[in-house]
Amino acid sequence: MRSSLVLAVALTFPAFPVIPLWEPAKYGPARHAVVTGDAASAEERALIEAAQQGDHDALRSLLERLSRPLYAAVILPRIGNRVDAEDVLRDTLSRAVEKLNTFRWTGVGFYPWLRQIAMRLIIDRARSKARRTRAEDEMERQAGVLQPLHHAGALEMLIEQQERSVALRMLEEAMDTLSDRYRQAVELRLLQERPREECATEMGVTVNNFDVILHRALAALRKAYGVR
Amino acid sequence: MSQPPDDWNPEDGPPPTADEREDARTLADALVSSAHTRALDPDVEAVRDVALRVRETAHPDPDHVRGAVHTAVDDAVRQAGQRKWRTRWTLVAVSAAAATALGVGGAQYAWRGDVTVHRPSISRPGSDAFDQPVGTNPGSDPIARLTDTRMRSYRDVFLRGGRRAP
Repeated sequence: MRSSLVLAVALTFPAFPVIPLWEPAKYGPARHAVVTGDAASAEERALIEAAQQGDHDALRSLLERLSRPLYAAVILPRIGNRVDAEDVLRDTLSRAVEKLNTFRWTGVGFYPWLRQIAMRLIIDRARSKARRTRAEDEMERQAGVLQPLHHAGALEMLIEQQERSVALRMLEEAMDTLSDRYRQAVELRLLQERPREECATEMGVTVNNFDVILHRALAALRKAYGVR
Repeated sequence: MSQPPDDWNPEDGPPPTADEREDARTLADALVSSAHTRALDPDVEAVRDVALRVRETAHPDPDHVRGAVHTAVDDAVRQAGQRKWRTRWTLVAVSAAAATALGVGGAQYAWRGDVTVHRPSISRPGSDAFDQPVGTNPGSDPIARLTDTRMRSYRDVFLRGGRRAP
């Protein structure tokens, strides 16, 4: 199971080896993966100050740099639905622009501030859809206690890798709560993206019964899928 | 390839009801990209979103991410531009309104300085009316003379359109 997740992500991001988070002792804490530098930090600070002064190029540069990891590795894995995820990203950036002048430099950079806005919007969206589950409760709890893992000026691809590792760990932990059959159904259909017929054959059931197993597996996964 | 019989395996839990089978089929259809836009029952939609979360976590689409980010950043920068102009125009409008108010107030003050109508006093020096000897003609009646004096005073003021002569 874990190897299949790693394989999937490694295939997607061949340039960035995925650190298996169940072996932290071997690879070190995830936060150590982020390369920081005073120059990069100073550059980010200068961009923020310029953007606060009304420099649109600086604003664009700042948002473009940080939006990709935010969207790909924070918003999408927590929303799933692309249309809703795009709305959340748009609202996040809109709110950030609106409140830009309230941002005060504390040394950790712009990303944690942006991420916090996004997490609040994700929670609000879950509430508005009246689908509050343990997952949303967990998400809210984690949003409150989350400490910024990134340093100012961190490369966006490294931020994305770290965020993706968090998303994968969430998925792994949720998958571990499933029975073997349910987990197999999710792996075959969603992680390996195999056709339903093949999945059904692999599990030795009809396609109709496979659909039911997958439906039950996802309903169980929904309860266990905490968000951090 | 022969399909296994449509018997339910008890290891997979209790046998599904007809409704559950229907939901499962709807979900299976919804997981096909072309069916994403279909309106779904909220419960099925919630489960579908979990499936999409798994998929987006494991297999993000770089093209989609790039497009979504590009659009959102464009919107945000445009919004910042509009805010800037709005702020600037608000400042201009407030300044113009303040200048107009000051100008109008100043002009009124200056104009009133020349034409201010002071209400004439209705009191008259006693000597003007009562120190005269009382005659036999109506014009010598002190009350009539007092009234005439007041009316003359008012008339003078209004005909001149200005302050009462000292």
